[in-house]
Amino acid sequence: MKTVYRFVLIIGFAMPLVSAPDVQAGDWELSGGVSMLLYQSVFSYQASTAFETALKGDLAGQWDWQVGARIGIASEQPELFTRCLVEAHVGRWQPYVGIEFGATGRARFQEGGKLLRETRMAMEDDISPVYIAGHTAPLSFNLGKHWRASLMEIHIGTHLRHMGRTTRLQIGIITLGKTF
Amino acid sequence: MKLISKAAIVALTSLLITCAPTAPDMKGVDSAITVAEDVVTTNLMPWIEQLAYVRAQDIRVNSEGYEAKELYPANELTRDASVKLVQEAFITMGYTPTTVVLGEGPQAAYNVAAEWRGSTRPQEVVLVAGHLDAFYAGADDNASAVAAMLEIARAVRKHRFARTLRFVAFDLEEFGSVGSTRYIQAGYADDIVAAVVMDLIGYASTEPNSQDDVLGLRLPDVGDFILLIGNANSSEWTQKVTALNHAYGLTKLISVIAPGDGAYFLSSVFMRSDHGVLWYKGIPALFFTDTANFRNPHYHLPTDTPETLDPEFLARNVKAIAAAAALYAEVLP
Repeated sequence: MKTVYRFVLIIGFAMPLVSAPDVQAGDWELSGGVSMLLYQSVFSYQASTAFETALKGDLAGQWDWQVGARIGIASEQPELFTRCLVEAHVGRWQPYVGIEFGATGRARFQEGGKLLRETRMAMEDDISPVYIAGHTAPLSFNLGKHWRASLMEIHIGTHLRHMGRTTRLQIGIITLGKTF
Repeated sequence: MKLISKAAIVALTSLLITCAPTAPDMKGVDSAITVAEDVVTTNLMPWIEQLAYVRAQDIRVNSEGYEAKELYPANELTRDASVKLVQEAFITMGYTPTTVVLGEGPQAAYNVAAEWRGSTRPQEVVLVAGHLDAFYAGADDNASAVAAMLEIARAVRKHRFARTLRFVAFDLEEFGSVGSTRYIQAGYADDIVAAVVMDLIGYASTEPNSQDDVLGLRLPDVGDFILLIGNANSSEWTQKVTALNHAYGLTKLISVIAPGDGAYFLSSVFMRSDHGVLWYKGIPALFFTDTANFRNPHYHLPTDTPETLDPEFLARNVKAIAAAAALYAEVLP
């Protein structure tokens, strides 16, 4: 897990160095998308899909902040998140990486079979709803002046208490953003 | 300048000493060995044969909700006769066992427990455990561990310990560590400061390619060793037991320390027995195993019978496990 975070941080700090800054300070972006979350504990998992909406603003230089919410399909509980991102602009390519903190109602697992059920429940009673994750959007592109599309955003994280006991792998299938 | 140089050398030396890997503290090892020496290895196979015999006559546990599949014959689980045998064995040794019944209905768990009370810190309990429920005869899985627990329980009565030794035969492990989970959730483990858990400790083979790797863990290809798995909480104890074992040549032991507390999904293969919930709850625990289906071709089959075991391998392992428990319980003069 440490290696993943280090990788995210290195890429995050390296991007501003290799890309030409082209940020319009004060831009806001409203985005929406669909993501899949695989939430994994010792003997349990939960796969779910959610709609996501977020608002992004300029923090400083190439650093941005973002707040958002996810609402799960099939009555999944919502998540609220905030991100600190660093963004690069290389022509139309606009990748970014960052750290996400969130509070989730999705930190629950599928019931599964009776085998290991009691052990699973005993092992899940202290899972915190607060999580931290590394987030990256490597396939993010500007589409004209005001639109951006991103495919396959990746987010790897864990809940805060007893970090590492759960792993959340989220794939942002598609995100569309409009600046204004 | 000389003074500064000297100070720098002293500081650097101190740093190197601080950073150097330290050998485990071997205090208590010599007295722990005396407990291992009191293990009567010829007692082990008769226990296993008795358990196999009574299981053959026993009624099956209601397996409603547990789907039988290959290598998981859920409808072949027995436990009642094993509970009775373990209770009687403890009584014969002079213990007053308790049967902690947790849950209701046909799938209530019957955990049989007995204690050898500590002399100076009796409130601190060292658990020695294995599960008593079994598929078919269950010679390796897990009569081998029940026999080990009983023999260690008999051997320790010649000694005094600082801490209390509690022997527990857990029920319904094969249904997903049900007996141990309920035991811990009900608060019976609140006084446990350390645990030794055994699951399949009697099968060995000297044939090449008799040992498979345990998912992600490269092992020798000859299955003639016992695997000791600890986690961060029990790493020091694991190292000490390993050093003790090597110093006295008790058994062929390979030790592994699971990352962190071991309770991660990538290391879930290391949590496949009653020690898993103990690890999760932060209790230091050692887990001894012959690696189950990664070695034993009779795993969960009717052929898991006493004659497939290696009595000498089992005997060596039980001595090492007795020493491990005694080490933590602290033998008193």
